[in-house]
Amino acid sequence: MSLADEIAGVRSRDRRQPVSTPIRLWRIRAWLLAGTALLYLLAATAFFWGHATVKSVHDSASPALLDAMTVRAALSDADRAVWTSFRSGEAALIGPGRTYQNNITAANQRLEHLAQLDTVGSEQLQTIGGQLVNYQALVEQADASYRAGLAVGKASRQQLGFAYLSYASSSLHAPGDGLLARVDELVQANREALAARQASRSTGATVLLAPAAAALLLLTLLVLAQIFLRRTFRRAVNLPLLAATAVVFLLPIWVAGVAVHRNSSFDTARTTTLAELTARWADAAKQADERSLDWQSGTAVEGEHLGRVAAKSALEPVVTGSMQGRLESQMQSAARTYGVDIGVHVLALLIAGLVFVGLKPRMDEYEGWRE
Amino acid sequence: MSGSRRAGLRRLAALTATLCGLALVACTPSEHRTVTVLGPWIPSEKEQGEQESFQAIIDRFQEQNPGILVNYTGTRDADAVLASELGSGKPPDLAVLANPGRLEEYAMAGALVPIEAALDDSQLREQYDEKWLELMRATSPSGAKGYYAILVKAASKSLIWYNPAALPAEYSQLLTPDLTWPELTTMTSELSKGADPWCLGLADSSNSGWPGTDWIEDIVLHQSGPLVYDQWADSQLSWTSPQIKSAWQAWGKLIDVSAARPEEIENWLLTSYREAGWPLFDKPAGCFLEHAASFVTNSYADYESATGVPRPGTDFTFAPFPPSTGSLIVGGDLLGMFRDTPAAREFIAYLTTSEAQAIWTARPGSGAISVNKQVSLDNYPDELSRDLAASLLAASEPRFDASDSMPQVMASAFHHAVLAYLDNPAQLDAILRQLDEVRQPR
Repeated sequence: MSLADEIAGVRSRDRRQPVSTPIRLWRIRAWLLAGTALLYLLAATAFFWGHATVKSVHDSASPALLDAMTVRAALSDADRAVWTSFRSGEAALIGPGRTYQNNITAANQRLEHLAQLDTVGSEQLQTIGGQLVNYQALVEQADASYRAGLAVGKASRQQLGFAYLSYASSSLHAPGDGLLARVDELVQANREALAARQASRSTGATVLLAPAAAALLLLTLLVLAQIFLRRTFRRAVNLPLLAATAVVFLLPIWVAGVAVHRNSSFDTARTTTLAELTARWADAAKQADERSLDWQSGTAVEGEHLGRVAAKSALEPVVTGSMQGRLESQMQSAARTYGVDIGVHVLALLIAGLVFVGLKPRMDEYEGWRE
Repeated sequence: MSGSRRAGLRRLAALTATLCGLALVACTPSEHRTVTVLGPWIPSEKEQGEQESFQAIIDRFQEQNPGILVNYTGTRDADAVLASELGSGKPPDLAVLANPGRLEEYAMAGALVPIEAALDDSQLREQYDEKWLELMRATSPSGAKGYYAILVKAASKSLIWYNPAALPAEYSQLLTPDLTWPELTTMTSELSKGADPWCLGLADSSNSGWPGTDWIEDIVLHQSGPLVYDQWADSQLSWTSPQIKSAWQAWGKLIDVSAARPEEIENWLLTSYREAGWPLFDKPAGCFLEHAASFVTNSYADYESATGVPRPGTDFTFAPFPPSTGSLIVGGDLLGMFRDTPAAREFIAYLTTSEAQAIWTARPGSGAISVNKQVSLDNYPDELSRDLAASLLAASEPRFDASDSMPQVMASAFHHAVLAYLDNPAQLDAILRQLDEVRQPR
């Protein structure tokens, strides 16, 4: 039997026995508490589901994608840096050079961070780790051979060092199975994982319809409860229930307001900043790869004039620059809860408490009625 | 108990049963079992490469075993990747090992799992001759010999390739089993007046240099005999010994390394072994002869020209390395098990079958040879492939690639030594002394 029936005074199935007022009061309280529970469940689910999606993107999917892109950029930069060092003759004094070392360190750190994030592509990470060790070994061999060549003198030529450097670059740039191709696969896997999370329905506006409907239902129940109390007990208005009505009105508006703000920031981050960043990065990476081939062309001696160029065309800042800061700020804004994460529990308890308090005096009037 | 209460209990029971059923479905493990495989086979531009061939085997296996998913990762640096994955404690289930030296190292270290449980010994003996089975065995940490790998495919290495249409007829006629080393050096000297006599490319990422080691090995085997070859491969014979030093000198003289221009040497160092033989098919030919293994046909298939892909027998054919004595060098791809799972066992057992091996050998241009006796010669796609397989199976004195049998450190030093020799042939004595320093007699 519905609350409306209770209020209308319709008798139970056994029409010979009219439903007594205390039973009606029990049933009204049960309906109101059930409505409160329903509102709480739907509002909390809608909010935390969307929040969990945004948080997972903020905490893992987005950093993982940026990490993978940074690894790609750092390795590309490292390769150009080591070529510059050899071409300019710096390698005779400082080996592959500080820029190369810094880039390799950055790539290793990002790979470690990616492994900790434990997102997609754990097998690819293993392969990339092994290929990176191999690349570094070839660069070290290039350095050793180059210095050995220098020690013997000009007559011996230094082309063995350049040959090893070419092998290293080849292991990096080989289409399909090279180190950069593997990292590209990792970037793609993370991009797809991110897109899948972003495409989740959890951050859509339709998710908010369910708690809105539950709030409407509970508001109706509260109004009907007021009508019943006024008819039965001749009270103008039940203040706790009136307060509960206000809170029920407030709760979905608060949740919806925060969710709409969150979804808006999230959409801006993914459709504008992240899309712009990935497009800019892909373009810069393509150009950098083309430039890398220029530096490797020609014989060991012919290429010496190409000089110091790596620092000017570094790719890593494209990823780690201001745009990453903007993305981070938008993601942080999207992940902010504005107190809803606690408020939704507190307000639901408050509604339940007000319902309990509002009906208790009337129920107390019938204490001992069973006896 | 009232009727309504009984009905309520029945509803509750039904709901509970439904929930339990759903939970059971949710918690039941997936039917799919995955086998991860790491190997050096990579795809080719024309999708006829080694990865595509291996994938064809995987596809057939998965058709027959729908519950098993084989996940193959191919990289030319598979050896380094495997070492890294082992270091991090996350090896693949199965991996193609770089060489028997690696097989022995991993088996002795306890990293490899013995595969006896996956294989039926009597069936293996029916399918493979003892000389091939020996290659699949290694020493366990306790010192016992056992099966630790399977030979997925083999290759004949003691071959000289040429384009019959490009090579002057008087030289083509010489390229028979009766060819002698002096005839080859004379031919090379005469051919060098027109173009480069030898196609040579030593680049192969971290394994660069191995095509040169194949040269040295063939010269040692064919000029000093199997006994010396075995002693040397087993690190019993010094690198500075006259037989080994003369092999280096013979190679250097054949390709005239001392007179080579710097750009020529750079070209040898930087040309990929896969593309080294392509000038055979240029018009006019950029080089006339190539010393390469039977799998070179796979890279010939990637050559682009207006007349199409080079045809076996017509555009390229081979002659045995001189002098032809019944000895030849073989190479092979060994697959070992690092994680013992039922699915991995099933896959490794399948790979030993004639059905699986025939998939690879039947693919045109694959250059793969099966040493499984049950793979018929009729299974090979052309006459040239059949001749290659027949010569390998009939070899009276097959020897496994020496550099592949050496410990990894020695093999790497050998690879580097070849590159260093081409860079500066005057340093040969120093290079051989350095190799001797690395050598550790077993």
